[in-house]
Amino acid sequence: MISDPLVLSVVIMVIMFSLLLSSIWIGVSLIITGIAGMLLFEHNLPAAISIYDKIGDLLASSLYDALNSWSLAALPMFILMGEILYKSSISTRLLNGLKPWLSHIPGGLLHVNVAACSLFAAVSGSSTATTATVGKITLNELEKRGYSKSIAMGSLAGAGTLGFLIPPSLIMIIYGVLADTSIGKLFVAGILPGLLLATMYSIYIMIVAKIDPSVEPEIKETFTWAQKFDSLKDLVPVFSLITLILGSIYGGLATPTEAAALGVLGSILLAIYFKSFSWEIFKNATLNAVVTSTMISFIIAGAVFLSQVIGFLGIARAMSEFITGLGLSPLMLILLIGIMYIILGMILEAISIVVMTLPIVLPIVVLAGFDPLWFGVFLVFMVEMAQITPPVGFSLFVIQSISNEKIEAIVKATFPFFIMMIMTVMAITFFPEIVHYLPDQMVK
Amino acid sequence: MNTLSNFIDKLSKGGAYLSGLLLVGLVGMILTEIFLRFFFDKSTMIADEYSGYLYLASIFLGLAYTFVQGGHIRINIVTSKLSKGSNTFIDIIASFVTLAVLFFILYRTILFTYDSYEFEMLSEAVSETPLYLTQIVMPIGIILFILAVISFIIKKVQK
Repeated sequence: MISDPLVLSVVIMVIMFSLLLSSIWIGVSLIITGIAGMLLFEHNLPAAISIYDKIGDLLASSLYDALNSWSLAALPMFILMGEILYKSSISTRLLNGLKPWLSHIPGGLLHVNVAACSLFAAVSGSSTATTATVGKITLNELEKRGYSKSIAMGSLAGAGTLGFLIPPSLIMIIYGVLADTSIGKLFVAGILPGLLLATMYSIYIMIVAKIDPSVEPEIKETFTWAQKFDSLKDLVPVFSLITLILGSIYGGLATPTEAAALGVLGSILLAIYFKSFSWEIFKNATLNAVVTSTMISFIIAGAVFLSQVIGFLGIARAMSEFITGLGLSPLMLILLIGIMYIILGMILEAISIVVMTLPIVLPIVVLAGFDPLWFGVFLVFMVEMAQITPPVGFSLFVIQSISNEKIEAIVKATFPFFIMMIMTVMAITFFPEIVHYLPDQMVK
Repeated sequence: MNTLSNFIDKLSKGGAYLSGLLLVGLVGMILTEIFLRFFFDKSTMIADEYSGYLYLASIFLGLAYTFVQGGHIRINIVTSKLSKGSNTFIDIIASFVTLAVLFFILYRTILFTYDSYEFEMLSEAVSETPLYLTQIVMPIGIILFILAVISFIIKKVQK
């Protein structure tokens, strides 16, 4: 029996990581950790109440309250929308539509990953989905045309993570619910940092193409204005869907949950327009959406239970007081938190990291004077890095399965883009206005 | 044993279809709300409340199928280094641990639902929905999940 919350928190972390590393399903691991924490704590319960009753009550009500949530209901709908788009011909259309516009700039079609991922990220909530949807067409096409495979893979990994940053974003929905921050504002706050990151990627590709012309083919296709004009019929539907989703949130016409439902309808219309919709496709997309959203939601439910336990035992407060007592400057604190997330990112996947750390980390950063909205964007950057850091990086796995390259080669190709993410994180840390500007202008 | 395992897998799939149906229903309900508000300035009055119930139900009914499909993620950076035999062993141990947790959840969610039923608890929104109706999906989903884990163990033992 342990009565000191700080000692208990260390014990709980050891238990949690032991369970996770022995390959017990993540949601189950979180629930067991919560139960263990309750059992190990020195309670002063009256004799009439059994500890198992207390745990059971907390567990059943946490599972119910975690998922009986109107805001989280946006999650499965955005996932369904992504599944419908994944099965549509949107990636081919994006490639065809963007080709005439990118061909003549330095680096040529190497920019197609950045541009297509930015656009697709604006209709998809997940980095893995963005990487998979864009990559299934572009990697092959770029190699066939004689572009550098290394830059193609690196830019796909880097730009694919924009899926979490550019709204809609599954991570931001989860963060918004857990941190009690407006999901609509989080969405809008992600736009400028996302565009900044995409711009950096493009500038990097141009510089590399200037220094080393061998990364692109010598003879590039040229396109006439008629062809450019013709390409619009592939791009306009995508832009319309983006406008429908983001415009309705930004203009205050719809909540993120309503935008998600509109998005599902929009993606069906888009798939019909692109002639890639059928009953069979819709059925499979729905079943896939069930699997993905159940997987995510079960982890969220487990994490909500664990965070209830952490709150109940006073661990969150004890940890915050301990960290505050160290007298770190806010910058030092955020640097340490950043390093912690990069390390966690090596063994855990994005959503688990957010739900597991938030109950303890959020009170600490808020106490240090950081704005929860800003921290939400910062956190998205951290988990984006988790997507592309080995050995566990979901974007890396996706690219591996598309390209059949060794994971080492992909990691090496991704490294420059990882560095640019760190630079962008520094930019938003020193200039928080990048995050705050658009939400401040929002229609109330 | 194989027929049992097949039957359980079919049951999980049934749960998933129901789960998918609820998800589509969720989309339909919210779209209805939006169109009513936009064109007639009216509201269904229940869309906010019921979207939570539909989401909850959809997730619990999808648990078993997600498990059968290998959709619940786990970290295997350590275990992937071990032999195939040890991995089967680890899978079986992990499944029994999961079963223990699930039986505890099953017992507690049944109590949770039964309490709402016995005390005739209603939702605080306009619909005044009896809460036990929204909670009963939890034990149902967990039962399906338990069966799916048992089927998983059967398959592992037979290998």
